[in-house]
Amino acid sequence: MMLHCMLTGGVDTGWTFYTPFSTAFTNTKIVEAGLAIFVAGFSSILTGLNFIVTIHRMRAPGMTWSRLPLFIWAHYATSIIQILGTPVIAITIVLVAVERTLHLGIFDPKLGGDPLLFQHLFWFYSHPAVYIMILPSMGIVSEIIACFSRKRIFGYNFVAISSISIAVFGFLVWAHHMFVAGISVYAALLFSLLSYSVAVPSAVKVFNWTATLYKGSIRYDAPMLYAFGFLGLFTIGGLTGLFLACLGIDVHVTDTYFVVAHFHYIMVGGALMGYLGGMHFWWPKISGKLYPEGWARLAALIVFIGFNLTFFPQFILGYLGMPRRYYQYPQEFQVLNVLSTAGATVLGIGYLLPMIYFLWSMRYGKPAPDNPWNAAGLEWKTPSPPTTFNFEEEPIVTWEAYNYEELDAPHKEEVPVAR
Amino acid sequence: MHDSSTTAVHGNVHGETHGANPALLHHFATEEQQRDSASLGMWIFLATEVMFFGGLFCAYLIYRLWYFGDFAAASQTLNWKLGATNTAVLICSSLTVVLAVWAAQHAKRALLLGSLALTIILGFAFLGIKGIEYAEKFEKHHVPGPSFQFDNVKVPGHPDQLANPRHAQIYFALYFIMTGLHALHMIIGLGLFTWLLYAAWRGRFTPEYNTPVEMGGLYWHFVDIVWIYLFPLLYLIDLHK
Repeated sequence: MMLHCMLTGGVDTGWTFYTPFSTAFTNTKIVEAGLAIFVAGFSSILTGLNFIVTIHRMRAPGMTWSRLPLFIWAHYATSIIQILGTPVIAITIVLVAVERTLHLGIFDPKLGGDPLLFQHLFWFYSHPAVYIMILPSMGIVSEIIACFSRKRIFGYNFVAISSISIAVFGFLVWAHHMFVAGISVYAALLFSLLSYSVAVPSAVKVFNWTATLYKGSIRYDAPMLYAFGFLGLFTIGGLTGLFLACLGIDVHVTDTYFVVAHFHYIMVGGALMGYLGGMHFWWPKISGKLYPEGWARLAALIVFIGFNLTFFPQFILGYLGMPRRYYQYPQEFQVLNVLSTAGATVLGIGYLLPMIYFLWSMRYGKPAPDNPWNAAGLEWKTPSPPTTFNFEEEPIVTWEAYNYEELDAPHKEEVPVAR
Repeated sequence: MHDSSTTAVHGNVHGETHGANPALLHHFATEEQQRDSASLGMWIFLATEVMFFGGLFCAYLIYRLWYFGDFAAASQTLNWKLGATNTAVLICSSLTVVLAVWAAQHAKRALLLGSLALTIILGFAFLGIKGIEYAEKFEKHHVPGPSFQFDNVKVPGHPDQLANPRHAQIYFALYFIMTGLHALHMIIGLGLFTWLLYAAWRGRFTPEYNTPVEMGGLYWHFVDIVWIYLFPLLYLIDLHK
């Protein structure tokens, strides 16, 4: 539906669909796009529901809450956001569609409505939505860092609970997207303060991952390279997030490249790096084939370089005052803009490489053993790829998560490529 | 604990345990686990429904605070007697739903079929009365849009003050969206209960397996509760003046 919408004229409101432009002025396919989002929302809600019920009711015997992998904890937190946030954007879309077709005036100031109400409802979902994107990635990074430093994760309980608190705090900060939209100063102050609070659980995670690495026997395989990338880039993204939570600085850099850079350090440098790491980590399990490790490390390096080249100049550009969504700029911004464009090309190559060698490995890759990393999770105790019912015998869990002190490091000849 | 995956893989080896109830799906170990999962899933779904209607209640609350007089004036054009009748109809239907669940749990076939049928009849009665109310709104040009008219209506308690038609239009917009979405949920509920009636008639439900009746009941109660909030908020604004 969305594709049809894009191919037959598109939508010119940007992704935010701000009223009254989207309801009273634009002539593009708002209602059709809204319907597409509404349908996608159902899948989001049902996925969250499925995860929560499965985690509560269908764990393997012996898999207590404190033995759950942190990836599952992260999914649990994500699911909470999905089931509580998505219905709100759904009703907002309904209101926009009805207002647009029947000219009602719920969001139209000309008819007595309030466009700010739309922004509140919109960001109530759309801010937590970014945590939907980053939280599973954080879970992946927890898995990878424990596995490739052969250590129990440091502060398991704190990492688990920090996922939940990110989900909870995430619902209390939405109005920091509206500091310049005309909300009251007191509301802005409060939301600024609350926005800082998200930094606490995020920092707990970063510190605990770092402490896990300490004195670990670290291996630099491709998943771990992505996890390292995540760690560094997410930290930069998180710290610049503090700048933006600060009311005074936010007013200065609103709608500049600084925001664009911050967002991409979290969403691409953070979330996407984590997912790429996860793809490599679980690829042998998913496909039953090993990917070429040398190429994978090269790709991880290219992604890291390309990403920084693309987005770091944007921090500087934004701070100097270059607004987003303009293709023209003064002469003195040229060098940084060219750097950013060049970086995007490098980044593109970095993304193409895994697509090529993953596809290649499905046909030509060496068959994967059950547990190529000697990792601790339950999924590694079943064949690669898993059989239809996952396990021949229902496993009974008697060990703590990440019991790496009881597992040997993988033998050289069994890892994807001998070193 | 019984091992579901082994049963599933080896088919008939442990088949007799699963064979006891064909309704037990292969990814559940026990009937109890299946029922618990369905129940938790339904409650979470209802939580998403609360958030869904919550956005509307939030919009309603803000505009009611801003345009209280206009909302009161618009609210008094509704027929509260019909609204109250509908409230009673829904409360009765909640009773028949409870009876249906009890009947399914205790294998009372006649009571189960009767209560399900009665629930459906009451649901249609609700929609019928709602239809009469909607028709009246159309006749009086209270439906938001180009033909909307709300001139020379006094604000209750302020005889010298006329309601602002634009603000009253927001009230009617919210009225139609909120009651319309509620009616949509009723229609979905009627579909569910028609299916339940058919399944009950085929004898699908036993004291061991009656989860669909229970889940359908939860949904129906939720839709009732939404109306319990909608009725005072929409029909009874400032009525004592």
